Amino acid sequence: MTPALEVPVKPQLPWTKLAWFGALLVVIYAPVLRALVAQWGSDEDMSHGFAVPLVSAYIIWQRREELAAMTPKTNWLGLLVVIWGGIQLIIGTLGVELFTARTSLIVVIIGMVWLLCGTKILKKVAFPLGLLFLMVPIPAVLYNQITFPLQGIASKFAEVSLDVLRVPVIREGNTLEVPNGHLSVVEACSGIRSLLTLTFLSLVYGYFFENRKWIRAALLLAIIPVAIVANGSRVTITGILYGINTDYAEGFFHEATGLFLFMADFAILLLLHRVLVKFAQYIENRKAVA
Amino acid sequence: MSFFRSRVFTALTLVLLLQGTAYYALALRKEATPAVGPLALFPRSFGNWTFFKEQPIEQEIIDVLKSDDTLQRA
Repeated sequence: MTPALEVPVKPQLPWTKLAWFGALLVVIYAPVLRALVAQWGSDEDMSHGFAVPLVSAYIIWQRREELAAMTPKTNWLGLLVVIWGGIQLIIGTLGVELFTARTSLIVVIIGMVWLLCGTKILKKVAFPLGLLFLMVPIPAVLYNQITFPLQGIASKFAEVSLDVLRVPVIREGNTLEVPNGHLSVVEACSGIRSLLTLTFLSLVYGYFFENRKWIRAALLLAIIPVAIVANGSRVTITGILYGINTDYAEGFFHEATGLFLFMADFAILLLLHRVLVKFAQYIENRKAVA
Repeated sequence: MSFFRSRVFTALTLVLLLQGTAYYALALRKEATPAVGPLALFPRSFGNWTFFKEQPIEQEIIDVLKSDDTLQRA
Protein backbone atom coordinates (compact mmCIF):
# COMPACT_ATOMS: atom_id res chain seq x y z
CA MET A 1 0.00 0.00 0.00
CA THR A 2 1.27 3.41 -0.88
CA PRO A 3 0.50 6.14 1.62
CA ALA A 4 -1.95 8.73 0.37
CA LEU A 5 -0.30 12.00 -0.47
CA GLU A 6 -1.66 14.89 1.55
CA VAL A 7 -1.91 17.94 -0.64
CA PRO A 8 -2.10 21.07 1.50
CA VAL A 9 -5.36 22.87 0.83
CA LYS A 10 -4.79 26.49 -0.08
CA PRO A 11 -7.09 28.65 2.03
CA GLN A 12 -9.67 30.49 -0.02
CA LEU A 13 -11.61 33.66 0.62
CA PRO A 14 -15.31 32.98 1.39
CA TRP A 15 -16.49 33.94 -2.10
CA THR A 16 -20.07 32.72 -1.64
CA LYS A 17 -20.60 34.85 1.47
CA LEU A 18 -18.94 37.82 -0.20
CA ALA A 19 -21.10 37.45 -3.32
CA TRP A 20 -24.37 37.06 -1.34
CA PHE A 21 -23.88 39.98 1.03
CA GLY A 22 -22.18 42.09 -1.64
CA ALA A 23 -25.21 41.65 -3.90
CA LEU A 24 -27.57 42.53 -1.05
CA LEU A 25 -25.62 45.70 -0.34
CA VAL A 26 -25.57 46.72 -4.00
CA VAL A 27 -29.36 46.26 -4.24
CA ILE A 28 -30.02 48.19 -1.01
CA TYR A 29 -27.62 51.01 -1.77
CA ALA A 30 -28.20 51.22 -5.55
CA PRO A 31 -29.76 54.74 -5.49
CA VAL A 32 -27.10 56.00 -3.06
CA LEU A 33 -24.26 54.52 -5.13
CA ARG A 34 -25.68 55.82 -8.42
CA ALA A 35 -25.82 59.38 -7.07
CA LEU A 36 -22.35 59.04 -5.56
CA VAL A 37 -20.78 57.81 -8.81
CA ALA A 38 -22.57 60.58 -10.72
CA GLN A 39 -21.02 63.13 -8.37
CA TRP A 40 -17.54 61.68 -8.90
CA GLY A 41 -18.07 62.26 -12.60
CA SER A 42 -19.41 65.79 -12.32
CA ASP A 43 -17.74 67.28 -9.23
CA GLU A 44 -14.09 68.08 -9.90
CA ASP A 45 -13.34 68.09 -6.17
CA MET A 46 -14.29 64.42 -6.09
CA SER A 47 -12.70 63.04 -9.25
CA HIS A 48 -10.43 60.88 -7.07
CA GLY A 49 -13.59 59.10 -5.88
CA PHE A 50 -13.33 56.55 -8.70
CA ALA A 51 -9.89 55.48 -7.51
CA VAL A 52 -10.78 55.06 -3.82
CA PRO A 53 -12.83 51.81 -3.97
CA LEU A 54 -10.44 50.36 -6.56
CA VAL A 55 -7.36 51.03 -4.42
CA SER A 56 -9.17 49.79 -1.32
CA ALA A 57 -10.16 46.56 -3.11
CA TYR A 58 -6.60 46.16 -4.43
CA ILE A 59 -5.13 46.41 -0.92
CA ILE A 60 -7.53 43.73 0.33
CA TRP A 61 -6.76 41.59 -2.73
CA GLN A 62 -3.05 41.92 -2.00
CA ARG A 63 -3.67 40.53 1.47
CA ARG A 64 -6.03 37.77 0.32
CA GLU A 65 -3.76 34.87 1.25
CA GLU A 66 -3.02 36.29 4.69
CA LEU A 67 -6.74 36.92 5.23
CA ALA A 68 -7.82 33.51 3.95
CA ALA A 69 -5.37 31.84 6.31
CA MET A 70 -6.97 33.53 9.32
CA THR A 71 -9.85 31.80 11.07
CA PRO A 72 -13.02 33.92 10.98
CA LYS A 73 -14.65 34.31 14.37
CA THR A 74 -18.22 35.58 14.61
CA ASN A 75 -18.55 38.70 16.71
CA TRP A 76 -22.16 39.66 17.34
CA LEU A 77 -21.21 43.25 18.19
CA GLY A 78 -20.77 43.66 14.45
CA LEU A 79 -24.53 43.21 14.02
CA LEU A 80 -25.09 46.29 16.20
CA VAL A 81 -22.81 48.26 13.88
CA VAL A 82 -24.78 46.98 10.86
CA ILE A 83 -28.03 48.04 12.56
CA TRP A 84 -26.52 51.45 13.34
CA GLY A 85 -25.50 51.78 9.68
CA GLY A 86 -29.11 51.04 8.69
CA ILE A 87 -30.42 53.68 11.10
CA GLN A 88 -27.90 56.13 9.69
CA LEU A 89 -29.18 55.42 6.17
CA ILE A 90 -32.77 56.05 7.27
CA ILE A 91 -31.85 59.27 9.12
CA GLY A 92 -29.79 60.47 6.14
CA THR A 93 -32.66 59.72 3.76
CA LEU A 94 -35.28 61.40 5.96
CA GLY A 95 -33.12 64.48 6.46
CA VAL A 96 -31.83 64.47 2.85
CA GLU A 97 -28.33 64.52 4.34
CA LEU A 98 -26.20 62.85 1.69
CA PHE A 99 -23.04 62.45 3.78
CA THR A 100 -24.91 60.55 6.53
CA ALA A 101 -26.65 58.31 4.01
CA ARG A 102 -23.51 57.63 1.99
CA THR A 103 -21.18 56.91 4.91
CA SER A 104 -23.77 54.46 6.26
CA LEU A 105 -22.66 52.07 3.50
CA ILE A 106 -19.12 52.02 4.89
CA VAL A 107 -20.44 51.63 8.45
CA VAL A 108 -22.52 48.62 7.32
CA ILE A 109 -19.51 47.06 5.55
CA ILE A 110 -17.38 47.49 8.70
CA GLY A 111 -20.15 45.93 10.81
CA MET A 112 -20.49 43.03 8.39
CA VAL A 113 -16.76 42.28 8.45
CA TRP A 114 -16.76 42.44 12.25
CA LEU A 115 -19.80 40.18 12.53
CA LEU A 116 -18.72 37.58 10.00
CA CYS A 117 -14.94 37.58 10.48
CA GLY A 118 -14.21 38.96 13.93
CA THR A 119 -11.97 41.63 15.41
CA LYS A 120 -8.63 40.26 14.14
CA ILE A 121 -9.65 40.26 10.49
CA LEU A 122 -11.39 43.62 10.88
CA LYS A 123 -8.12 45.09 12.17
CA LYS A 124 -6.29 43.62 9.16
CA VAL A 125 -8.63 45.37 6.73
CA ALA A 126 -9.14 48.52 8.81
CA PHE A 127 -6.97 50.69 6.53
CA PRO A 128 -8.63 49.86 3.20
CA LEU A 129 -12.07 50.10 4.82
CA GLY A 130 -11.23 53.44 6.45
CA LEU A 131 -9.90 54.66 3.12
CA LEU A 132 -13.42 54.28 1.71
CA PHE A 133 -14.54 57.33 3.69
CA LEU A 134 -12.49 59.43 1.26
CA MET A 135 -14.81 58.46 -1.59
CA VAL A 136 -17.68 60.35 0.09
CA PRO A 137 -17.82 64.11 -0.52
CA ILE A 138 -17.53 66.06 2.71
CA PRO A 139 -20.76 67.70 3.96
CA ALA A 140 -21.51 71.16 2.58
CA VAL A 141 -21.33 72.72 6.08
CA LEU A 142 -17.81 71.43 6.58
CA TYR A 143 -16.85 72.16 2.97
CA ASN A 144 -17.75 75.82 3.38
CA GLN A 145 -15.96 76.00 6.73
CA ILE A 146 -12.78 74.76 5.03
CA THR A 147 -12.96 76.52 1.66
CA PHE A 148 -13.68 80.02 2.95
CA PRO A 149 -10.52 80.34 5.09
CA LEU A 150 -8.51 78.64 2.33
CA GLN A 151 -9.73 81.24 -0.18
CA GLY A 152 -8.59 83.96 2.22
CA ILE A 153 -5.17 82.36 2.71
CA ALA A 154 -4.69 81.95 -1.08
CA SER A 155 -5.67 85.59 -1.67
CA LYS A 156 -3.31 86.91 1.03
CA PHE A 157 -0.49 84.62 -0.17
CA ALA A 158 -0.93 85.88 -3.75
CA GLU A 159 -1.08 89.51 -2.59
CA VAL A 160 2.22 89.21 -0.73
CA SER A 161 3.90 87.19 -3.52
CA LEU A 162 2.81 89.60 -6.26
CA ASP A 163 4.00 92.50 -4.15
CA VAL A 164 7.40 90.84 -3.70
CA LEU A 165 7.54 90.22 -7.47
CA ARG A 166 6.82 93.95 -8.04
CA VAL A 167 3.44 93.30 -9.63
CA PRO A 168 1.05 96.08 -8.54
CA VAL A 169 -1.79 94.53 -6.55
CA ILE A 170 -4.57 95.61 -4.20
CA ARG A 171 -6.55 92.99 -2.32
CA GLU A 172 -10.14 93.48 -1.27
CA GLY A 173 -11.28 90.37 0.55
CA ASN A 174 -10.89 87.56 -1.98
CA THR A 175 -10.59 89.87 -4.98
CA LEU A 176 -7.21 90.91 -6.32
CA GLU A 177 -6.93 94.11 -8.34
CA VAL A 178 -4.10 93.57 -10.82
CA PRO A 179 -2.97 95.73 -13.81
CA ASN A 180 -5.44 94.37 -16.40
CA GLY A 181 -8.47 94.05 -14.15
CA HIS A 182 -9.47 92.02 -11.12
CA LEU A 183 -9.16 88.35 -10.20
CA SER A 184 -11.67 86.67 -7.94
CA VAL A 185 -10.35 83.84 -5.79
CA VAL A 186 -13.49 81.71 -5.88
CA GLU A 187 -14.28 78.41 -4.11
CA ALA A 188 -12.66 76.42 -6.92
CA CYS A 189 -9.42 78.34 -6.27
CA SER A 190 -9.46 77.54 -2.55
CA GLY A 191 -7.19 74.52 -2.99
CA ILE A 192 -9.71 72.13 -1.47
CA ARG A 193 -9.53 69.97 -4.61
CA SER A 194 -5.80 69.34 -4.35
CA LEU A 195 -6.08 69.02 -0.56
CA LEU A 196 -8.65 66.21 -0.83
CA THR A 197 -6.85 64.40 -3.63
CA LEU A 198 -3.46 64.76 -1.97
CA THR A 199 -4.84 63.41 1.31
CA PHE A 200 -5.90 60.26 -0.54
CA LEU A 201 -2.60 60.05 -2.43
CA SER A 202 -0.54 60.61 0.70
CA LEU A 203 -2.39 57.86 2.59
CA VAL A 204 -2.02 55.37 -0.26
CA TYR A 205 1.61 56.32 -0.91
CA GLY A 206 2.42 56.01 2.80
CA TYR A 207 0.73 52.62 2.93
CA PHE A 208 2.63 51.17 -0.03
CA PHE A 209 6.04 52.77 0.42
CA GLU A 210 6.54 53.35 4.13
CA ASN A 211 6.25 51.14 7.21
CA ARG A 212 7.07 53.69 9.92
CA LYS A 213 3.84 55.12 11.26
CA TRP A 214 5.38 58.46 12.24
CA ILE A 215 6.62 59.06 8.68
CA ARG A 216 3.18 58.18 7.31
CA ALA A 217 1.62 60.69 9.75
CA ALA A 218 4.20 63.35 8.85
CA LEU A 219 3.49 62.87 5.12
CA LEU A 220 -0.21 63.23 5.78
CA LEU A 221 0.22 66.38 7.86
CA ALA A 222 2.64 67.88 5.34
CA ILE A 223 -0.16 67.86 2.77
CA ILE A 224 -1.83 70.87 4.40
CA PRO A 225 1.03 73.40 4.06
CA VAL A 226 2.08 71.93 0.69
CA ALA A 227 -1.43 72.30 -0.76
CA ILE A 228 -1.82 75.81 0.68
CA VAL A 229 1.51 77.06 -0.71
CA ALA A 230 0.91 75.40 -4.09
CA ASN A 231 -2.53 76.94 -4.38
CA GLY A 232 -1.28 80.36 -3.34
CA SER A 233 1.43 80.02 -5.98
CA ARG A 234 -1.19 79.14 -8.57
CA VAL A 235 -3.16 82.27 -7.79
CA THR A 236 0.10 84.28 -7.95
CA ILE A 237 1.03 82.80 -11.34
CA THR A 238 -2.50 83.51 -12.57
CA GLY A 239 -2.09 87.12 -11.40
CA ILE A 240 1.18 87.48 -13.31
CA LEU A 241 -0.25 85.85 -16.45
CA TYR A 242 -3.32 88.07 -16.22
CA GLY A 243 -1.03 91.08 -16.28
CA ILE A 244 0.55 89.82 -19.52
CA ASN A 245 -2.63 88.72 -21.26
CA THR A 246 -6.08 88.34 -19.69
CA ASP A 247 -6.72 85.15 -21.71
CA TYR A 248 -3.86 83.42 -19.89
CA ALA A 249 -5.77 83.60 -16.59
CA GLU A 250 -8.41 81.11 -17.70
CA GLY A 251 -8.95 78.12 -19.94
CA PHE A 252 -5.98 76.02 -20.96
CA PHE A 253 -3.29 78.04 -19.15
CA HIS A 254 -5.21 78.07 -15.87
CA GLU A 255 -5.88 74.32 -16.10
CA ALA A 256 -2.27 73.61 -17.07
CA THR A 257 -0.95 75.58 -14.09
CA GLY A 258 -3.26 73.58 -11.82
CA LEU A 259 -2.06 70.27 -13.23
CA PHE A 260 1.59 71.30 -13.09
CA LEU A 261 1.32 72.47 -9.48
CA PHE A 262 -0.50 69.29 -8.50
CA MET A 263 2.40 67.27 -9.91
CA ALA A 264 4.78 69.60 -8.06
CA ASP A 265 2.82 68.90 -4.83
CA PHE A 266 3.28 65.21 -5.34
CA ALA A 267 6.98 65.65 -6.14
CA ILE A 268 7.39 67.60 -2.87
CA LEU A 269 5.67 64.73 -1.06
CA LEU A 270 8.16 62.26 -2.55
CA LEU A 271 11.09 64.53 -1.72
CA LEU A 272 9.85 64.97 1.85
CA HIS A 273 9.58 61.21 2.14
CA ARG A 274 13.23 60.83 1.06
CA VAL A 275 14.32 63.44 3.60
CA LEU A 276 12.34 61.78 6.40
CA VAL A 277 13.73 58.35 5.52
CA LYS A 278 17.29 59.74 5.63
CA PHE A 279 16.51 61.36 8.96
CA ALA A 280 15.07 58.11 10.33
CA GLN A 281 18.16 56.19 9.13
CA TYR A 282 20.43 58.78 10.77
CA ILE A 283 18.59 58.41 14.10
CA GLU A 284 18.67 54.60 13.84
CA ASN A 285 22.43 54.64 13.09
CA ARG A 286 23.12 56.92 16.04
CA LYS A 287 21.14 54.61 18.31
CA ALA A 288 23.04 51.60 16.97
CA VAL A 289 26.40 53.30 17.62
CA ALA A 290 25.33 54.31 21.13
CA MET B 1 -23.01 25.40 2.60
CA SER B 2 -23.68 25.09 6.33
CA PHE B 3 -23.09 28.83 6.59
CA PHE B 4 -26.40 29.49 4.81
CA ARG B 5 -28.19 27.64 7.60
CA SER B 6 -26.33 29.43 10.38
CA ARG B 7 -27.78 32.01 12.76
CA VAL B 8 -25.29 34.65 11.57
CA PHE B 9 -26.42 34.30 7.97
CA THR B 10 -30.10 34.49 8.91
CA ALA B 11 -29.64 37.43 11.28
CA LEU B 12 -27.52 39.50 8.90
CA THR B 13 -29.70 38.77 5.89
CA LEU B 14 -32.83 39.71 7.85
CA VAL B 15 -31.31 42.94 9.15
CA LEU B 16 -30.14 43.94 5.66
CA LEU B 17 -33.50 43.10 4.09
CA LEU B 18 -35.33 45.10 6.77
CA GLN B 19 -32.94 47.99 6.25
CA GLY B 20 -33.45 47.85 2.48
CA THR B 21 -37.24 47.69 2.79
CA ALA B 22 -37.33 50.66 5.17
CA TYR B 23 -34.97 52.64 2.95
CA TYR B 24 -36.89 52.01 -0.28
CA ALA B 25 -40.20 52.75 1.48
CA LEU B 26 -38.80 56.14 2.48
CA ALA B 27 -36.87 56.89 -0.70
CA LEU B 28 -39.76 56.04 -3.04
CA ARG B 29 -42.50 57.76 -1.05
CA LYS B 30 -44.35 60.57 -2.79
CA GLU B 31 -43.35 64.03 -1.80
CA ALA B 32 -46.08 65.66 0.29
CA THR B 33 -46.87 68.88 -1.56
CA PRO B 34 -49.29 71.17 0.28
CA ALA B 35 -52.24 72.30 -1.83
CA VAL B 36 -51.84 75.97 -2.69
CA GLY B 37 -54.88 78.07 -3.60
CA PRO B 38 -54.81 81.15 -5.85
CA LEU B 39 -53.30 84.28 -4.25
CA ALA B 40 -56.56 86.12 -4.95
CA LEU B 41 -58.04 84.16 -2.04
CA PHE B 42 -55.66 85.92 0.35
CA PRO B 43 -57.88 87.42 3.12
CA ARG B 44 -58.85 91.06 2.66
CA SER B 45 -58.26 91.83 6.29
CA PHE B 46 -56.35 90.24 9.09
CA GLY B 47 -55.06 91.63 12.36
CA ASN B 48 -54.83 95.43 12.10
CA TRP B 49 -54.50 95.37 8.34
CA THR B 50 -57.46 95.93 6.04
CA PHE B 51 -57.51 95.81 2.28
CA PHE B 52 -57.40 99.26 0.67
CA LYS B 53 -56.81 98.76 -3.02
CA GLU B 54 -55.50 96.26 -5.54
CA GLN B 55 -52.36 97.42 -7.34
CA PRO B 56 -51.73 95.78 -10.68
CA ILE B 57 -48.19 94.63 -11.31
CA GLU B 58 -46.46 95.91 -14.41
CA GLN B 59 -45.99 93.40 -17.22
CA GLU B 60 -42.23 94.02 -17.20
CA ILE B 61 -41.99 92.89 -13.59
CA ILE B 62 -44.20 89.86 -14.23
CA ASP B 63 -41.95 88.89 -17.14
CA VAL B 64 -38.88 89.04 -14.92
CA LEU B 65 -40.51 87.20 -12.03
CA LYS B 66 -41.94 84.44 -14.24
CA SER B 67 -44.22 83.47 -11.37
CA ASP B 68 -47.40 81.50 -11.95
CA ASP B 69 -49.48 83.83 -9.77
CA THR B 70 -49.09 87.37 -8.48
CA LEU B 71 -50.81 89.67 -6.02
CA GLN B 72 -50.12 93.21 -4.88
CA ARG B 73 -52.42 94.86 -2.43
CA ALA B 74 -52.19 97.94 -0.29
